[in-house]
Amino acid sequence: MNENESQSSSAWTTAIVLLYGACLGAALFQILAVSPQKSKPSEMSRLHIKKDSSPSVAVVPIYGVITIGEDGPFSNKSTDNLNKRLKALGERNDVKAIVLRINSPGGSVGAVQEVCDEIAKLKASGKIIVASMGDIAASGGYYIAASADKIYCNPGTLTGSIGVIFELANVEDLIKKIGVKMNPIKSSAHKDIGSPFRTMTADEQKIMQSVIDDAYGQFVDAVASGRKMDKARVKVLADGRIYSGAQAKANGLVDELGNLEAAISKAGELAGIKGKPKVLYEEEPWERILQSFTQSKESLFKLPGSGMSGHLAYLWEYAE
Amino acid sequence: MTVPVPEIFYSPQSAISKLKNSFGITNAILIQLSSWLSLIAGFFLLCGKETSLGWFIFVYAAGVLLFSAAKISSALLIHLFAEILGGEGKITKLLFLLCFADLPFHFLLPLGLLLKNASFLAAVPVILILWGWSAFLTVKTLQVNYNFLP
Repeated sequence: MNENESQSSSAWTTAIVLLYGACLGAALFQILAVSPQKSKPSEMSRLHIKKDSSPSVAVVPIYGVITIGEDGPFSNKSTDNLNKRLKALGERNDVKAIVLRINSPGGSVGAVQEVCDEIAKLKASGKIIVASMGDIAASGGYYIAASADKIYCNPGTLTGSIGVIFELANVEDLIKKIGVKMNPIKSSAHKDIGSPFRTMTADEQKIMQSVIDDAYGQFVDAVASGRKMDKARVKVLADGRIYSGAQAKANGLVDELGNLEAAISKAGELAGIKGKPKVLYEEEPWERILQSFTQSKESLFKLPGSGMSGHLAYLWEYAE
Repeated sequence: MTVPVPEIFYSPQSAISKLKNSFGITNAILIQLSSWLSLIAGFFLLCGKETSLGWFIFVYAAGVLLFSAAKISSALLIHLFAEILGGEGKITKLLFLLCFADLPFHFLLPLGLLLKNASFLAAVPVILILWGWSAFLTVKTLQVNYNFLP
């Protein structure tokens, strides 16, 4: 190769490298979602909602303990994210019905009620909501299901557990044994209500009970209005016990016995979709891979109701 | 030595022969890494997928590990068969030259920008064509490295 050819080749290589750099910059700008004109479709893409235009039924999974919390780098299971997904689905005209796939022992009162608020908005906007229970949809899981237009469960699904729990530990005797004394300095009499370092007073017991009763009343109201049942009848069923799917159906807590497919078909039928409805599944593909690494650790070290201590919860604690 | 990028595309055999004698390992590694970066970024673009920087780095790092393992294993196999067939060449040189065989994957980046959000179905033929081109360059690399030239 003579000098001229070599220079020409070098110039071409430099030009190609520069062009490649520009393409790489533009590509990363698009992929990393840093575009200032972020539109709704990109929000949907971030939430892993696939684009489609034909009338569809979306399946939204509600798995595990329902809580409001920070999402980790590899997981987005807080109700904030769930509500965002529901909202995004609500804004789509092609989504005519939503099937809530519930496999949850319940969760914190606030989180459950926030999800129910979002479901109420979806219903108001004309979307059909059908709940499909998996292994378990107890307490807060049932609270959410009760707000659906129809509830499907398996004959052996564990459901019910309509009630509220606020579990507080009392380690007074333990800290006495190890010679520790707590000295709380408080602004008012009940500021350290629920302290694990002393026995609860009768007054505090009354206050706590009134809070529990109020939240319980809200649960009963939600079931009565969602299921269109008499409040007195709900109260009879809502003594905190769990029901099998078949028992729940016999008591009017669910509508039909059937699996997820049956719930999807019903949702399509209620939404007026002719034939087999198109189904949109929402899931984070990477999360599944990472879950396989984290799941075993969680099941080994998770105690019943862990993470809910000190929270008012619609939760069946011993389901995990 | 500057890598004769255009020459690899229009006159692969002579370009690879020149590269064989230069052995600039840094250039080869940079080209290989940028090829895989283009492949992954282009795939994200064609599938219309957005992600966070952390996830992108994770996917890229995992891709580099996976592709490196695949490349080294295939080079070992190629070397074994080439020696059986009477070829004469070093495996280190083969690995070095194979880095340039992935050059066509750089085109996935501009193509991804042009065909953004075209779906997975559009990504498959584009990747297949580029893979075919890369396979052609791999064959040329083998011919040069093991003196199988006609």
